[in-house]
Amino acid sequence: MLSVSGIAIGVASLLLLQAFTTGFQRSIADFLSSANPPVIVYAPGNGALDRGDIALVERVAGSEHGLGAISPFIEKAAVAAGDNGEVAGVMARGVDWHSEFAITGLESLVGPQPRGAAVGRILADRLGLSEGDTIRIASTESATISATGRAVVDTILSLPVSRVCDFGLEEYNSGLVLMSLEDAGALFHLRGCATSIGVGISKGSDPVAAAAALGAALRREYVQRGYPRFLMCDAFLERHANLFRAFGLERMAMTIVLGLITVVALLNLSSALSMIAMEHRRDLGVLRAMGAPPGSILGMSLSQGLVIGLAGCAFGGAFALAVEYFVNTLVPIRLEGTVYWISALPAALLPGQAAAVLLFTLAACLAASLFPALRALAIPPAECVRNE
Amino acid sequence: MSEAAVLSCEGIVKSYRQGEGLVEVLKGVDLEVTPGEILAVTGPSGSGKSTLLNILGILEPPDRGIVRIASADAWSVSESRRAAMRNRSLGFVFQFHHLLEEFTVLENVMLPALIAGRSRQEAAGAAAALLEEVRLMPRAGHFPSKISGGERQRAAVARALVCRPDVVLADEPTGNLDSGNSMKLMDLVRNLSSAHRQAFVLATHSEELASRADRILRLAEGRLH
Repeated sequence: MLSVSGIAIGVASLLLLQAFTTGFQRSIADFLSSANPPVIVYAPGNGALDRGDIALVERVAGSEHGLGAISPFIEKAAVAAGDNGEVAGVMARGVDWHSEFAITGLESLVGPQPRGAAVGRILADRLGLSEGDTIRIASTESATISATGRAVVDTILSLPVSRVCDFGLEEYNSGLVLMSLEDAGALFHLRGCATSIGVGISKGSDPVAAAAALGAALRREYVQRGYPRFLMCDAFLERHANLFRAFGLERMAMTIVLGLITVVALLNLSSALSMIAMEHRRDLGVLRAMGAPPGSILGMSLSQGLVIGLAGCAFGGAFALAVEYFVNTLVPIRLEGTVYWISALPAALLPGQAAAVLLFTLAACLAASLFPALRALAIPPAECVRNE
Repeated sequence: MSEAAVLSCEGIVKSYRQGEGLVEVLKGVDLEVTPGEILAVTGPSGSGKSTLLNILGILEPPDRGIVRIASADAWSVSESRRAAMRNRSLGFVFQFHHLLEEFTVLENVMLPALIAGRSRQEAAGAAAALLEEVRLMPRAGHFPSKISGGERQRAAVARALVCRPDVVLADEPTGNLDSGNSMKLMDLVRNLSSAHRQAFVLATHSEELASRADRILRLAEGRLH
């Protein structure tokens, strides 16, 4: 029973670790992706994409498995000013609201029918802006320096602030201004063009794999079919690859630490089976005297290990599933949203991860029961049945 | 070796390490066991009777010499083949019965038949018939701890016989029994031997028990006389 408990605790620890780290990573990824398309196409040097480029990406994305609708957007550096006289460097992004809402979670941040500009929370504070105020934006690309040494811009766009948003990311909250594609086209003299094209993915698809597939297809268009421009693409989450690498490293370190619990449980199992083998040493000798082949003695010990492993996996797995259910439905683990970006820690136990933990545990239980069996078999049967 | 021998050994030498020295317990033992005979090997404690029985039962190898079971050299075959030889050709009765405490008397007697690959039903039938023969059927469902010493030893004899082996090797089978039960067990051995033509090799230091065997060999100074 102690051996089963040890294995169950080890299995439950490993499964819950996987469940919580996966849940946390997914939530963070979803949160980061909510203001951005999962896959982004751009030209080398961030040059403008014309209608032909947009049509090509739409056609290629439509024919690739796992990819969905597209949404061209313009993203460029600009300066913005509010009513308090402050000026700030910003990232102005113009999107086609309708198609952008179809591939991102932006609608939940800016509302269903935005007019004017949506401004990041920190930027709004800095410029003294609130909803209904006017933000003035000028392109830095068109700026020139006058004879008197003053900066002169040719276009200044004034837009009403329709929403002050919390985009989740510090860099967005302190510098992002969202507007319509038409307004951005007018500001940057890019009417009918875009600087990037967002591409949606179908539910359950891996954005990194989808981006790789689209990149390969676009490369084929350029190399084999003679399309005049080479277009590149990557997944939005790849731009935060270091964050996810850090998550992965943390998960690996914790798996090793919690794996040690399982190793201790396995040593306990091996020692318990050794004790059983020693206690039943005479019985094993009698069985061998009756003609039980070494393989059957080995099989008996392995089946004991397997039964203990199965029971441990069953109890540990059931406990982990119960915790996952309670955490996701009845008693959520609350987090400080401003610190962790998400307000609750979800658990997501993936079948593949669970299968790997359970199979590893069962194999380790068999290995742990092999040693006592081999030790028992090494004792000659005559020694086991000798009269004491 | 005569044609009729079911178990034989030639030139068996066995020594054990004792402290820094080597004690030679068996110094060239030759023996043949014919079907249906009851052979008593006598000798004082420590003379090597148990060692000889273990070597004859291929539970431990000799340092030198050959053990033949139905004319096959038992130590020139694989371990699994040797296990099959122990199961089909040999039966063992130990001084302290060595019944498995977790199993009932019936299950203990069934074990060798199950190891031989017989079905549970077949094994139970054979075990029940033998328990009837040794007058233990009323105790078939009891655990070894709940029956007397004499009954345990009768159950051990039944277990040794369930696969109908050619030879039963019994090491001090009455060593743990009083005189009355010893004689009853010897009567049982004689009846079974004549009924099934199975040979019995009894290692005993009891001259009284040995006197009831067909042949008596004395083990002294590492040799049979």
